[in-house]
Amino acid sequence: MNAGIDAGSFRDPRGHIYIDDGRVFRTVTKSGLADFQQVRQTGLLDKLVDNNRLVAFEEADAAHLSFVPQDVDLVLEHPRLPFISYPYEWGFQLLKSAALLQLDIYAEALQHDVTLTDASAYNIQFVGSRPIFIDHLAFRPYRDGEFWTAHRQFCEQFLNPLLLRAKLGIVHNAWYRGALEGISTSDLNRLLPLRKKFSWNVFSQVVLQDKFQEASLDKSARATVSINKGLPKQSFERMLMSMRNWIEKLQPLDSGKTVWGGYAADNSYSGEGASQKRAFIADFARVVQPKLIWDIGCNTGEYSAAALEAGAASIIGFDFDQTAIDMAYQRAVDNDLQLLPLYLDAANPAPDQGWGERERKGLRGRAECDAILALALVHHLAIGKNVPLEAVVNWLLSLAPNGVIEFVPKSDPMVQELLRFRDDIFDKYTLENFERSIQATATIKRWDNVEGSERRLVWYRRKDI
Amino acid sequence: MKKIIKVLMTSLCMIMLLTESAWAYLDPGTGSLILQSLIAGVAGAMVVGRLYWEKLKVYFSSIFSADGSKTSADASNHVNAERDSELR
Repeated sequence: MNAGIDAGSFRDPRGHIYIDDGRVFRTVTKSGLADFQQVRQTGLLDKLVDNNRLVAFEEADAAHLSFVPQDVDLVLEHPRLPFISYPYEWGFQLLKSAALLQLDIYAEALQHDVTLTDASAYNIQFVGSRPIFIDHLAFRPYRDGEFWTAHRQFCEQFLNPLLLRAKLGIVHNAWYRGALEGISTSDLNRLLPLRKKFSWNVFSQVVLQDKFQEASLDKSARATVSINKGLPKQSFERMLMSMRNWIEKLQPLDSGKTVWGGYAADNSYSGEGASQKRAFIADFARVVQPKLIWDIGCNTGEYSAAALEAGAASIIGFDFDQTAIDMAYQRAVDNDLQLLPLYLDAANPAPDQGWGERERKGLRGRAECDAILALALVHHLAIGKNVPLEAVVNWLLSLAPNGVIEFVPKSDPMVQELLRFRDDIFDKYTLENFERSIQATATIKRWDNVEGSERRLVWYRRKDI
Repeated sequence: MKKIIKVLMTSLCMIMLLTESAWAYLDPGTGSLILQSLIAGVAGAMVVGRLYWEKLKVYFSSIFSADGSKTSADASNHVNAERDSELR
């Protein structure tokens, strides 16, 4: 593969990310070098790396790298992260933990007389369920009395989407995916009812900020502006602290009231069925030893955990149920699992978008997984979304060379529920057609019927590998 | 509510200047900067307010404590000394 500048790395002239044969490099241009060296000398970067808050880095030999442009004096190499995810794929708890990391890094930086040039949520990634900061050039020396320049960006990319869920019970994902820079303070202010505006935090951060911004556009008001007071460092630190305290307490307004309701308890098969499923998945993971699994329809991460225990290196879980991914996140945190649960509507995955339609990559352009799990997923797409069964199977098989797919037949109470108020137009939704679709491009390595139900687990291996 | 905000905002605009954005990597947004000044101002006022509140509490406790217990008398002396030094 030829070295190329990462399509998402163009905003900051002080350096760029290059991907060369799977390795990740960061160039530091002349305009960014002095700041970077000065920040590095404070010891901040090493401290953050030691605490697993900043991706590790080491100096690379620029002379041996053909892609390095003329104006570059320093090249860093970083370890490659298993998966790049975006804030519009994060659930509430992931976005919240990313926000807290951003504030913690800020507070730590100020102690070293360093500040940050921005507060982009895209500068935070997850390894397992742990947030980690990825932009080494976002730091620069702090100047006495300067403002929190990135405050507005922090509000739009972290605070406002969290408030949307915490104060109004609206999830941020669809909106954020459409508005890549986050949710504007003025939109949020318009949405919030008066009774939600009586807390000092909401009043100051949303209502006042919006009104001030609006007023600043008024030319007559701007003309009277005449004295610069600056922001004392102590006030800066206090503002970060109170923002942190506030965000730490935020919780979704609607917790507990989503599709899956009872979760683990709420399915159509017995406890033996569940342990049988776990054993099947564990066998699969033991034999295939996948580096990266996509668990599509991961629910609360129960079967991801089984696969990890059996030898899978890391798993990206996907589900469209917000409470499920928050619960899976909690499971990952509690058990320190290499599991990152993300929001996904499998019928409409994240596309290539942003500047040049390449800045933020679509789901498949970001990483290749070597296995998939698709448990109790197919009927949601084939019946819930009218996607032909064969197309569902082909899509799943195209994602990874190995995998386990569960077929839930029409007789199953969960499918009956989906069909309750509609005509059954799904003549082709049968086990025979399901297996025939798989066998067109893959072989069935093993199958098993889930006890206490008419569901079937199928372990496939694609023929082209 | 709208009127209060307008008055607050105009008075704040009168005492603010936003010249430093020239070197900023991103547009900080004027609303954000005015808000930060306000918050810094409110926090400052709260610190001053708390100082006087503590003094007031000590002052009243020294008046109302019938036995004139040693601690409150000491504290009020301390505050008085502080106040004297400020007056000087």
